[in-house]
Amino acid sequence: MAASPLEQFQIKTLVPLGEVGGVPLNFTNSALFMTLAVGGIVLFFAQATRTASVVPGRLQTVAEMIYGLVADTVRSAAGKEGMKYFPFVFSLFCFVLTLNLFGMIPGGFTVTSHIIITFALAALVFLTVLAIGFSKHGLHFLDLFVPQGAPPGLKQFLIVIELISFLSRPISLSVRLFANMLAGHIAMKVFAGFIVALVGAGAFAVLAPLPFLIIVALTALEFLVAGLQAYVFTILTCIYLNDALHPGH
Amino acid sequence: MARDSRSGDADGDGDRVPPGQTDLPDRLRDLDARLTKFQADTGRTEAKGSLVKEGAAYGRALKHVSEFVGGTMAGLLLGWLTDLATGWFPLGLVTGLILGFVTGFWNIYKSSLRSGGN
Repeated sequence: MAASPLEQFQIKTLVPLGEVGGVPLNFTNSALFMTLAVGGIVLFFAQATRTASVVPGRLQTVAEMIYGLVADTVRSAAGKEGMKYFPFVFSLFCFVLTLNLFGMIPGGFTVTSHIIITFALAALVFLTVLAIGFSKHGLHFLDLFVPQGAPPGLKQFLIVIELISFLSRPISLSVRLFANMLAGHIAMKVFAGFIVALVGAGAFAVLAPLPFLIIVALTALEFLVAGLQAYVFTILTCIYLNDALHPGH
Repeated sequence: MARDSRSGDADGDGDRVPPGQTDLPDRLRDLDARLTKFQADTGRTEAKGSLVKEGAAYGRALKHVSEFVGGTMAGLLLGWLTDLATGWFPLGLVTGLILGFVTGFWNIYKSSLRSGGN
């Protein structure tokens, strides 16, 4: 077969922009899809709010639903204080969701299936939480690592565990989004490959509709995962922000 | 069908608004019961429910995996950095890995507590 299931994740240089300090700086297909995503988000919200009315039209309804979803998440997970960071969380949600959905376009490129991208986003969340935590609470932010109600012998051990657990957050946050997108897209490509292989296998061609049915279901599942993972990324960002705002809890 | 039920709700709201907000919980419960009945009648929950349930279970599994992998990798990284800084080559790596495993399980425990609360 011509196409390997991993070929879809290949980074291709579209416009070489030269080198910076010996490192090649290129405009790649990944950069193109990120640019398209940002452009798509801006266009969508500009169009949706252009004719803002009390009785919303279709686009405005969708925009309001997205706003409501993220606002409710921030409020319930990080409290009223968390709304100060709503623009950050909202941008993150829209960016991840759009990248996930653009990856569903046949022939498209799934930017979030690259761990360096998801890790950069998770590191951004992690550093934001650290900055907010230390600037708001100073050294009291470290109370986050002290478990309440633990017996003295266990306490020191749990502090170490909590510290590692805190450091593991950006890793697990990035691994989750990346693994979901990667696994889903590989599964789809593998089942698509089965169809081609079966059609070309003489009498076995009668079985070809089976993987086709599976791929229809997988496509639906992937759309679900695309939305779900963007939402999970957002809700975890809010939970971490809550830790930065109220470290005592 | 969906439109019928929505307009029915709107009518119900219109009738009941004057008594004030005291019966809001009752009205919500009533709406909940009617929604459940409506979904059961149309058989919608089963068709859509299985895929959503499957997707949610799949999401939960990957969530726990990522929590565990995250903890293990963070422990391993810390141990390795300790080794680089001190030169106790295998000791830091092994200790870090074991602490990372413990952290992985601790992460799973905490995240399942959190999702249980939701």
